[in-house]
Order: sequence, then C-alpha cells, then structure tokens
Amino acid sequence: MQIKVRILDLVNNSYHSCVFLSMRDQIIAHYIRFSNKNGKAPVSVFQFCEDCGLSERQFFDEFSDFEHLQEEILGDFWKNTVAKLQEQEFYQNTNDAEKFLAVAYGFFENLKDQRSFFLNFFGNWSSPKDLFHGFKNFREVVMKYIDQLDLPSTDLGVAQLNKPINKLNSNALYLNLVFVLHYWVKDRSKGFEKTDALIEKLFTLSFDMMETNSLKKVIDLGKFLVADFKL
Amino acid sequence: MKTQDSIASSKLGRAVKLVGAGAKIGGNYLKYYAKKSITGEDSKEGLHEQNATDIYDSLSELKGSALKVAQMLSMDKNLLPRAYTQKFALSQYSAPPMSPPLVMKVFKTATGKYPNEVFDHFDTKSLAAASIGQVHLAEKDGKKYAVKIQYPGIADSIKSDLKMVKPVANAMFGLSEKEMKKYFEEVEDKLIEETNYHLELRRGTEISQASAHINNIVFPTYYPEFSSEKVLVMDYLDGNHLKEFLDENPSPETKNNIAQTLWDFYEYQLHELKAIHADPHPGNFLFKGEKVGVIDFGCIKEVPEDFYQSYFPLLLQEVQSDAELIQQLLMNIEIIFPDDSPAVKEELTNAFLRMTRLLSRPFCTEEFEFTYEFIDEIYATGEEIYKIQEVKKPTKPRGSKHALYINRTYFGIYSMMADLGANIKTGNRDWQARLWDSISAQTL
Repeated sequence: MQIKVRILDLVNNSYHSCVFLSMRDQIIAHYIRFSNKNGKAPVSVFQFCEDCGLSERQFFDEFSDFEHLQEEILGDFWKNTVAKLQEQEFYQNTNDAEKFLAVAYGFFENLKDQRSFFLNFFGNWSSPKDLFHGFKNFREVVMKYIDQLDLPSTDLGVAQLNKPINKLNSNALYLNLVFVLHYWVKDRSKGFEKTDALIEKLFTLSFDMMETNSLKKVIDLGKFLVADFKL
Repeated sequence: MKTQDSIASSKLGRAVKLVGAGAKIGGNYLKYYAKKSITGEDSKEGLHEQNATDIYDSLSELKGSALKVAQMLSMDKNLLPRAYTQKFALSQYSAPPMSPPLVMKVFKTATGKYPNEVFDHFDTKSLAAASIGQVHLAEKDGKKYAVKIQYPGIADSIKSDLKMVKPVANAMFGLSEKEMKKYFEEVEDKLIEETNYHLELRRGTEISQASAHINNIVFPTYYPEFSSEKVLVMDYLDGNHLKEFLDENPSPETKNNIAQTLWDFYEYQLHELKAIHADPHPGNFLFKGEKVGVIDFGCIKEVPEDFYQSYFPLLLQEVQSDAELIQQLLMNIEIIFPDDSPAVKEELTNAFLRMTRLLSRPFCTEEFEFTYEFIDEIYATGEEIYKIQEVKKPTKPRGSKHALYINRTYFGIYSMMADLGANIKTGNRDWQARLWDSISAQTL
C-alpha cells in the first residue's frame, strides 16, 4: 500500500517529492494523471513521454506498450490491496474465503480513489465478456492470489472430477470479479454501496455453491439483479 | 459481435438467466400463496397454521421489509388469527446475514477506521439481526457497546421489495394502486427513515431523555462520535427477550411491575410526547430483574395533533354514547365519508364502535387484566367485522394512514401484556380529561 499511496501522491501533483518511486511506478502515476487531465489516454508513447519529461527509452525499458501498462495498473491495485490487508489483525485471523471477500471489498474501495481514470479506462469494455478477455495480466495476479487460498472445495465423490471442478470454481471467482467490475462502472448508487451489496451476495453465494447448492441465496441475488440491474 | 460469442460469455449469460428465473419463481410463490390465502372460498380454511407457515416461508425469501409490510397490513385489517401474527413476529430475525469482511468494510467506510482500531475488542459474529442490518458486541475500557451495522444499499432494496408486495397487497384489499397509495407512502417513508441512523440517534436520545423519569425504564446511551448514517454505537444492554424472561418463571408481581413500566412508557409517549416507538416487537425490549430496557428507535411514529384530536376521543366512554360526535370524528379519520349512503355509514359506524369499545376496555377502568381471552376476542371481533362487505371489499380507501402504525403498536403492546399476564393500572384520567375538555370546548 505504501506504493499505492506514493503513486497517488504523484498522481495528485506532488510527484517532485516522490523521486524515490521506481521508474515503473512513476510512469504509471504519470499515465493516470495524463488520462485524468486530458479526459482520455495518451495517443502515442512519444506524446506521453514528452508531456512528462521522460525519454522513450525509459518508457520501453518498463513497458512494451500502453496496453501492457494498463494491464499492470489493475494488477497493482489488487496486489496493493492484499499487501495493506495483510497488516490487519482481522485479516490474519480469518478464514480464506473471508480473506478473499475482504480483498474484494478493499479492491473496489481503492478503485474509488481513481474512479475517473477507471471509467475512462473501462470505457472501451462494454460487456463483462470483453472485460473477461481483456486483462490477462490482471487475471494472472488474481488467480495467483486465489490459488494460494484454501477455499471451500466441491467434493463430487470422484477424485478425478474434483480437481477440474475446483479449477472451474477458481475461474468462476475471477469471472464474478469481472462481473462486479462491470457493475461498478455502471453503478450510480451513493458511495457505490450497491457494488458492496453485489460483492456480498455474489461471493457468499459462490462459496456456498462450492460446498453445497443454496437456492435461497440464488433467489436473493436474482431479486437484487432483476430489480436493480434491469437484466 | 454475435459471431464472437464465446463459451465463457454464454456461460455467464446462462448463469444470469438462471438467477433471473430464480427471482421470478420467488415472486410467483409469493403471489400464489397470498392469493391462495385470500381467495379461497372458505376463508377460515385459509387461516390455519399450516398456511401461516407456508406464507411465512415464502415471504421470508424476501427481506425483512416486505415481510413487515405484509405483517402490518394484515394486522391492521385484524384479519389474521394469532397463529399468523406469531409467525410474522419472527420476521425480525430474518435479515440476510453480513459476512465479517462486509461488516469491517461498512464500519471503515462510515468511520474511517476498522472496528478493532476503535474498540479493544470487536466481535465479528453478530449478536442479533436488526431488520436492516445486524448488531455486534464491542468492548472498550471494560465497557460493552452494541454496534449496529447497516446492510449496504438497503434503502433501494426496500423500495424494490415494496414494489413486489404492492400487487399482493392491492389484491388483498381489493383496492387499486392509486387508492392504496397513501398507506404505501406511509410505510415506505417509515421504512426509509429506519435506514437513517442519524435520525435514530437523535430520536432515541430525545425520547429516552424525555422518558427517563418513568420507573424502572432503561435506555442505552448513544455515541454520536462513533456513529454515522450506516453505523450506530450505543451501550450494550444486558437482559433477556420476553420469551426467555418468561421461561425463567418470574413472579406475578415482577411481571406486573414490568408490564406497568411498559404501559406507562407508551402512555407517556403517546399522550405527552405525541411520538411513539412504533416497533414494539419482543426483540426490541430487554428484561432484567424488574428493569425494562428499550432499544431500537428506528421506527418512530409522530402523531399529528389533528389526528390525535379525532382518533383518541373515540376511546372515551363519554364520546362513545354521542352518535353525532362519533360520526364527525369518524369522518375526520376517514373511516366514513360524506358521500357514503346512510346504510353504509351506519354499518361502518357500528362496526368501528364495536371494535373500539373492545379495544378501549383497558382505558375505561382503573385496573385491567390482559388475558389471552381478551386478545382472542379482539381477533374474533376483527374476523366478524371483516365479513362486512364494505370492509372486505371497500369501495374507497378507508382509515387514516396515521392509524396504521398506532394500531400496530397497540396490537404489539396488548399481546405483550397478555404474554405477561398483566394486571395493571390502566385508567390514566389525565389525558382523558384533557381530551374531553378540548372536545367539549369545540362542540360548544
């Protein structure tokens, strides 16, 4: 989180005092600031580098292109959320399903700090499907995090089937996360509290379904979506 | 775009549809059961306990608010026997639970700190479910606190829940949506008010300070410095809910003292403060020794003066014998209307008077004993009145919206009194004399 706070300092104009940031993080901060200031992402690396006084070499030493840079940003937000939570006592003492939930809440809380940027950022991704395929790097970061958790597992009674089904479960968690991301972009509720409600309903349901089927919660979630999301 | 459809997206699409279907099934169940209970030819058949269980089970798929509406409307109509109301009274325990991470998140968003940074100890497991959130136990410097945390987005889901009950309620009363509007607005306003913890804090503090002189009553202190719109911090009150309290076989004297405290508290609120704690379900009272703890000031009904001046005189014996005055008062509270036919006027006046005479029995004597027979008589009379055509299928919305919460409150109190087997002093002549004076002054 240290890193994130510094990136934010930088985004918020005080980057001269942040020379201790790595070049990679400086570039990311510049990129967010550029996008916010201009209402759109830079068109070329040349234009971007000129605007923030870097050489193109400095840019390409860190990133292959803007797409690469964008991917890293989401992953950074995730990793920073995890790092910050790991300092918290309640996070250390809770089970892994709740750890995941805590990270999900923290992640969206952190995205709030840069909502303008992310609205711009996700503007091109109109459906959850596009989002799902769009962020390979982010997906890797999240899956890596999920894989080291000890989550509720589905026992089908056949050992050979359990492994693929539980792999599917982890994938489903990522899919749900992308779905929430898509919802958050369109969420207009105060403090994005509906996103919180969605996270709660969606992931507690996911974890329950990993163990058993829970029709009750399906109905609860369905009501919420039909009423509020006009599906 | 269609050609790019991938397995993953169609999977998501299917999942979403499944979820949507689930919701529709839930809605159909609700409609099916509600209809079944009210359109069945033999209405008594529809009113037995098994059916109450069915309705309760399907309604509890919806969150607390929908249940509350159903409960309130039916109680007000007097049409549900005790089996139903007991089932419905359970609704308080049915809010969806919040995961510990969500509790942390809501607390942090509201106060800027995690609970364990504010308190020495914070229990992530909830103590009890409140209707729109849940209550957690916390400790700081050896003192215990109750921390109420609100479910995110609850105000919006109250609105959508209400939309789902509306058709059912309309069908129940045979009135159009337009005619039901005033009642729904009242209920919606009250439910939305409950989501504002700032308001609850202010009202809880005001009412508890004003009522502090009442013997044996205990209120929690609220802590604005730790509270926000979504988080409410108050003293933790020790004590048992009514059922557990009664299980310990307290002496009749203790029960009477407790009942007296509750009665005096409600009399004082209604006739002095003109604002009442309008959610008198057993979960909101804690009993210990002879002390009565009152919690949850989320639902407060402020009684408008003109409604007060028209509704409560009907409880006075002197008024009940003055036919002309009664007609006037019943028109004021929208039970009868000037354009009703004389026959309808008479039928409704008689029915209302019959009910009122029964309900006002405690007020007409110095002392009153609340028995289950009394409660059953109220329900039986209610069922009989319900058979009257103009009550069963009213041609227009009858009854002031303000009566909704006041009636509910008194039903709640009467049944708690019966549970306590209360034999207490009920004839408070002060407000009765005051009302009579003001009525006489007006009619002279």
